Amino acid sequence: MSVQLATIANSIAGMTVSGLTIKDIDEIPTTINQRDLPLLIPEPDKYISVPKIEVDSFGTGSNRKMTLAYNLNYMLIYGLIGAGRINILDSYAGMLAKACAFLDAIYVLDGLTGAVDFNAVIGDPVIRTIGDLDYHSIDIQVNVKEFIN
Amino acid sequence: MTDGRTLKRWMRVYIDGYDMSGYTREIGPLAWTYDEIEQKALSDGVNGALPGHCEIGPGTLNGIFDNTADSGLHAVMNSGGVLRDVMVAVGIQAIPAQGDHVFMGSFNQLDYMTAPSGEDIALTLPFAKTSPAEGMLYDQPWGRLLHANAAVTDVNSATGIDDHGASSAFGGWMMYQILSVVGEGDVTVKIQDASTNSDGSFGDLTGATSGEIAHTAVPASGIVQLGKTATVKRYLRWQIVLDGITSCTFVLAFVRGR
Repeated sequence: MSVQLATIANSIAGMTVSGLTIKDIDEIPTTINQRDLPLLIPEPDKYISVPKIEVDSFGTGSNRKMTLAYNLNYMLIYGLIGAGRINILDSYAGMLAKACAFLDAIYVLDGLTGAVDFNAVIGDPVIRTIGDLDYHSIDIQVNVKEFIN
Repeated sequence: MTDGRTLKRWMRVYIDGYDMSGYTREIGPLAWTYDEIEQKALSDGVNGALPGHCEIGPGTLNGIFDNTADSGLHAVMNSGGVLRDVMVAVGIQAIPAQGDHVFMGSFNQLDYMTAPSGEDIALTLPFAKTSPAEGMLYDQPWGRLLHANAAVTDVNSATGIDDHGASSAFGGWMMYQILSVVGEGDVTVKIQDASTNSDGSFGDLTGATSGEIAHTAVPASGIVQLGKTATVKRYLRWQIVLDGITSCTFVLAFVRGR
């Protein structure tokens, strides 16, 4: 059985979260169109982290049972800093709410195609500079586990 | 039903008509043990076990204390010395589905123990092993899921499963777990068998029925045993009769005799 990274990324992109566009690994934008925000995109420079392979049984390479676990790192680009009417942190609460909405959606999934186990956590809110503009952003990590063979 | 190995997150536990999966951390070991006989003759080459004489048990259920009225683990199982219908369905890399394997039986809950565990309050519910001497005609706890946990509003016209590859003449037994109903009246959960896996070929498997269960009796569970020489055709499926009740959420499994 082959590694299901592309299938899992596609499954994540296929999730429905109200008001959030989720991109697949072949849909990562090189520029941000503000009309597309909020946007959840794979983090290109560290999409896969902490890979771990456990060998669960004896056997040849195509027979031995293995478990592959890794994290998929996404960044939620929420909105332009200062786009609100009150202060530069106007959209901060909305960003956290949208991140939690993604977690809610993944927590209630009965399955994620390609993965035998999965979970997700929120990372640190960060200000990201993309194309000379600063955006409210927050990291989201999806933890997945696959069986190999 | 997928083939292969799985994780414990894909197990589901049903007890006395309640879905206890959301409160259960672990259950096991799911034991099916034939003791070695002590008496052996001088010329016996190996120790043996007596066929039909085994001990079956679900081990210990380790759960999470929850006081939700009527359905939480504390509300349902806060006493020892009670005989319970226990069904453990094993999904293969997914929620249990028709055809997946099920460990089940009627077991004495020996104890109800509560203790802090980390930041949780943990429950430890050990079960006794049971043996054919306690009323079961059969010494097999492993069967197949015929209906996974879902609501049904109409009769079954789908095909069934092939759990054996052929007809058998050794009977079997079923367990039903009726979790909830909508409406007032009666529901009957039963098994049909067929030689050909097509809707029109299925007929009621004689004796494999819960009988009428009134809405007032739900949640409900039960075991129905067929005669040990009963013929069970190759293909099996669930069937339901709704009388007044408009929807029934239930789980049904069958162990084919051997």
